[in-house]
Amino acid sequence: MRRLVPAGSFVWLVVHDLRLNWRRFADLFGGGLGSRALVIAAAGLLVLHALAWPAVAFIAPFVAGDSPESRLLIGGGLVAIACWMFAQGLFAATRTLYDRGDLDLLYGSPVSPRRILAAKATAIALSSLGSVAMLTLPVANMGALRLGPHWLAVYPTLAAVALIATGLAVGTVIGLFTLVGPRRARFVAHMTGALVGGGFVLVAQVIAMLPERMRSAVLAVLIPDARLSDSAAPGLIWLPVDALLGDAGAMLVLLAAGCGVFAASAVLGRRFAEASLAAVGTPSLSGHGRAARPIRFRGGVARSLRIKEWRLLLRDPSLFTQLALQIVYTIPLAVVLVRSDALPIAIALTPAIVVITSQVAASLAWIAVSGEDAPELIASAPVEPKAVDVAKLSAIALPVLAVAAIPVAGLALTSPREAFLAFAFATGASAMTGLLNLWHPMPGNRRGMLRRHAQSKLVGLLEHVLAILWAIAAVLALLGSSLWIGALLLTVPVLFYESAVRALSGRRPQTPVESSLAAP
Amino acid sequence: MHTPLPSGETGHAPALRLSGVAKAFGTKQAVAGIDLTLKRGELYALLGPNGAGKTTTLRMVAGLLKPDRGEISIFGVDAICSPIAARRITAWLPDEPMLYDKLTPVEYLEFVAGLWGVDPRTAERRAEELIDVLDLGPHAHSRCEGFSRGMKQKVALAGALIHEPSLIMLDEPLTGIDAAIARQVKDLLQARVKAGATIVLTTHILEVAERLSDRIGIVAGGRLAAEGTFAELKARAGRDHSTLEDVFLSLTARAQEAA
Repeated sequence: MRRLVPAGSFVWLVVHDLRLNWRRFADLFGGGLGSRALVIAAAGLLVLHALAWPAVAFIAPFVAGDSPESRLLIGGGLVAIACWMFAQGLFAATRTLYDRGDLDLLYGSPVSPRRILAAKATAIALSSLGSVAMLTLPVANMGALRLGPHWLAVYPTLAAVALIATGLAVGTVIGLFTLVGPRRARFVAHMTGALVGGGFVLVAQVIAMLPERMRSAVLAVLIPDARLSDSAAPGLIWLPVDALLGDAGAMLVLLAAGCGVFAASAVLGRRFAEASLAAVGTPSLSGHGRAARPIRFRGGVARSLRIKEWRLLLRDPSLFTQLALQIVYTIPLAVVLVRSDALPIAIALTPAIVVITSQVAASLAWIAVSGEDAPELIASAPVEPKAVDVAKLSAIALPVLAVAAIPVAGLALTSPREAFLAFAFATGASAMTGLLNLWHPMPGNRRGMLRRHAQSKLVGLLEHVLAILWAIAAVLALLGSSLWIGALLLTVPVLFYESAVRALSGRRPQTPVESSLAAP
Repeated sequence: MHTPLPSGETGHAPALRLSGVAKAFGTKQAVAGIDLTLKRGELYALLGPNGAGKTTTLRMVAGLLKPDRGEISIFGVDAICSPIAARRITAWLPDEPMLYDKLTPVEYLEFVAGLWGVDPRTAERRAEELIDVLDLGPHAHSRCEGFSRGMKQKVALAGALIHEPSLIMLDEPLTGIDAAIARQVKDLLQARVKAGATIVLTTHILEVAERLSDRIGIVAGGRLAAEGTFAELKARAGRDHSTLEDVFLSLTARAQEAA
């Protein structure tokens, strides 16, 4: 493909970026797919199309016709997709600004910065589109085969939404950069991305949980009655829905709007270029500025290690965001369970608390043990490795407890016994997933926390199985069934499975230091 | 001045003694039985082509790698059997500075001092001295993430010296830093040697080895091919070789032929 277009052209640059994005995506599956990647992708698409065939039959009754309910459903889906794309755009634009990658090389070339950045923005839009298209386009294709070609309107609609979302994301990042400065802009952009990405589902669920009268009032504010009762009436808010339903006029307006917003962000290209250059080597100060201050130390090995871990956690916005993402994306599960009238609130909340805390504990344990930035420094210190591990685990215990404390405290107000059980099971699950990550380090850059399972899918799977078993055990204990002991007994072989496999194969677990000291 | 040496230390043991130390990575023999002895208070430079085994040797001394065979003794302490005691009196500075980008130099020094169990008041005094000597003052409370390589190297060096180690091991300490910072680092190292510390460093900058070191060891193919003062090495290489570069190339070529 790259050979077909002139080197340095806009398309050439887009293809270059898409290739890098594809490799980043392939790394999620452990990388190294090589030429098999295309075959696997094609096979995956076939499978998705096969699954989409019955899915269309299931979806069709809900989205058929032009009823207010179906429009509301389609509109909600589009808003969710737009939120996702906007979040992806925020993450990608921030990565472009701060992680640099090839930006220095490209700026040093005779290609105009505006073209480079327009290509990068286009690649961001295409990648966002790709992340949604994988699941939605097979449904559109099968819908077109079964129910008519108007289902193909999904293609241009999604493209327009991707352009709008990316344009807004790039504009937001530049705006944040200008308003709050380079250092805070990254943190705010990451947090915004996390909240927008998971927030829509959460807000939708919260609205659904409200009492009927309150829910109607909220919906009336959000969606005017006239719009619901007269769905044919044109309106800007319903434009994407009309476009998706095959209205050619609405489609053209939406595409024009998409191109307009995207072009507006491209106009900001010069500002984007300046921002990206300013982001490099931005001298960042500690919270108290650079004025000369007396030096005050407090000693102690364990204390030094704990303080170091906490400082690094608090100061890394990308880590903070990734942890927030884990929590935000798990909360909707709890909301769905709480909504269920058949379940008491404690039984609905407890598994979510157990799963969230165990996942946070696993992530923090990985950060502290595998994501250690200076493993050689720790290894060359006169400290027993076990003492280092204990100090690091005690460092992560505090944030894990903080995550568990709020819902458990809320639960304790109504049912103290259930709150105690939720806390006990959450602690047990966190200890186990923490230990799993301690015993089986998977060294990597701490920024890639959410991608850590690509290094060992088995450890990732065991981590999830442990969390689920503890959640099941917690529910059984709350129900008064003694079967919870059986569920907990099952966690033991799961915890030791990887160790047993390694022992049988004669492999010794590799420490982060050993990994960093691979043969020269 | 320096970290007290372990009890039972006779005062006669060399700063560092390696006997038949070997290490292989898979089928590659990185270090093939090195014998090396460093006197107390000397600055020793290890030279050798890329992949000769210099860094692997120092990493074994630092306790980061376990040798396949051989013995390592630091001021009479068996570094393999008593690694914690050995680490207490040593410092290891790799070519890539071991820093935390999100910490400031002061916070980094506090962390390292804590790891080595230095009394907080003593550590504060030493930190102030090191920050002053290395001219880190204006950046002492800035996070390391925006620092140049030279600045990072200076912070890492300060960290390596905060517990006043008796044996300091440095891997390419002057690579990639500008002349002004290199001068600061060289001055500090020489001051440490004058104060009684022993230093072993690897370098590709032959001028540094020639000017700074008391003795030079040339490693090739995982073995110590030659060692001595510059004058001794020159004599050994032959009278046609007048510069350290000539001597280095001649001796490594001979070692590789012999291998």
